[in-house]
Amino acid sequence: MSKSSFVSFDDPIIEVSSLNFYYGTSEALHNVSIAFPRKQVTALIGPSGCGKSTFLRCLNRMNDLVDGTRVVGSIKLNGSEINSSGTDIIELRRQVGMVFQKSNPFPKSIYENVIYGLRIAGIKNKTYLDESVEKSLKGAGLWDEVKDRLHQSALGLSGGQLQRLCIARAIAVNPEVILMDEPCSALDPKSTARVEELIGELRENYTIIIVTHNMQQAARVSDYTAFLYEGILVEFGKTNSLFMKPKNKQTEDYITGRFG
Amino acid sequence: MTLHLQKELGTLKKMLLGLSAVVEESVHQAVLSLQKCDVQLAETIIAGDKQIDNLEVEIEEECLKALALYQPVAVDLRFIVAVLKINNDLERIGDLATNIAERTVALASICRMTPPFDYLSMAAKTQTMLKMALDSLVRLDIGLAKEVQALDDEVDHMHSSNFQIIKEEMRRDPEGIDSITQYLTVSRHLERIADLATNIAEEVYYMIEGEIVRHTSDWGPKY
Repeated sequence: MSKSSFVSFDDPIIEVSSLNFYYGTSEALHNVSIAFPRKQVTALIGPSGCGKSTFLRCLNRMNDLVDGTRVVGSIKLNGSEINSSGTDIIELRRQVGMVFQKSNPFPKSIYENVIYGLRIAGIKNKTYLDESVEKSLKGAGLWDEVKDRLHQSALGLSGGQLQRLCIARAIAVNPEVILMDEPCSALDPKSTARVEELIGELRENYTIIIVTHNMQQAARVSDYTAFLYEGILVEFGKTNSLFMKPKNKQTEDYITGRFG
Repeated sequence: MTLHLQKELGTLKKMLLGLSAVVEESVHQAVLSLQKCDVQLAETIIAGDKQIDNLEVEIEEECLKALALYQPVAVDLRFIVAVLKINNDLERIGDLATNIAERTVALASICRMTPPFDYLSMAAKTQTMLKMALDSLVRLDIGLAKEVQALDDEVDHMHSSNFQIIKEEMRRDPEGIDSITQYLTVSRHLERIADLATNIAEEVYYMIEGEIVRHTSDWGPKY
């Protein structure tokens, strides 16, 4: 199935063509072709084990860290192939940041958590770091809550605050794309609402690709939605039309809870 | 969770079909009351409108409950939205049946005069449309829904030709204006019922196709 069977874009930030992914001999993604629009939110939905997270992790080569995996096909970020041997993986992951299901703060201060990526990149200029901390925490909607305790341990923050701290850490290195793997699944409704609101704000400056099990969340936060089933991209289109009148029967059955 | 929603949608469908049956019967009896000049029957219909109103409110509450509890999407959402609107249309049709019954009461003393136009064939066509629209709902039959839309033009045409007849009749017999205008009103009510039946067909179309065809005239069959 080529991407032309779904919606396509003039200047996609990421373009995936005929992607196959294997864990050993088992195929987790089959011939996936999809293009992601710039500065828009795209949600990936599908039942457990359908390959959503695997797919997401292909986009910044996080799967490299898993033994026995193999990628076939092309993934281009701004036109450049990310799977080629010459790709600078550190730079790739700076451009394509990631926020995980469970927040993963380092046992350091709030300040140090935010600038971790910048420190790794060798930046030492204190003014620049201070500005980055403020800008990133503001961007993640956390500044007002933590500005008076930047140098206290991050581990004292609530679950919702920690997740926003991880978002601040992701945006501190000024990425183009933020991948989110079920960023709200461990949060209460209020913190979830805050993060969803934040996704709407981040969309101004970043391209966001979010994996979520929560269909209502996909419908609320995304501009486009892709439905994956058993490693195959079944449908991809504008979120509104996909949730009002999906083109594919499998999509309809899944989003109305008739299977999956 | 999804099983609950399916059950809920089943309940909604049953409730809506219940209301449909009552409304269809009410229209039928209203026309009959006029034809037979049966004031007692007319009054039964007028009193029966309360039941229709109550059913309408119950269905609306059930729809709101389903929306709030299950946040349905796709076909389920379209179904509930269509039910909400059809529910409203049916209640209005019930009102119009009552209005026709009120004409029976108004015409009671002069009922036996020959009607100025053939309202019975208009009533028959309107009732056919209503029946077809409701059948298209039960069977989710898009072809039938389209036929309803085509018939609406015929009823509209009948109404405008009745209007011409009435004008001439008024000129010919100014004394008879009171009763003649009653019949004009009947024609108007029947035409409105046909419009609402068309609305129902449009909602059925939306439910199946996900496309809003209201205010467009090109979705019906091409002859």
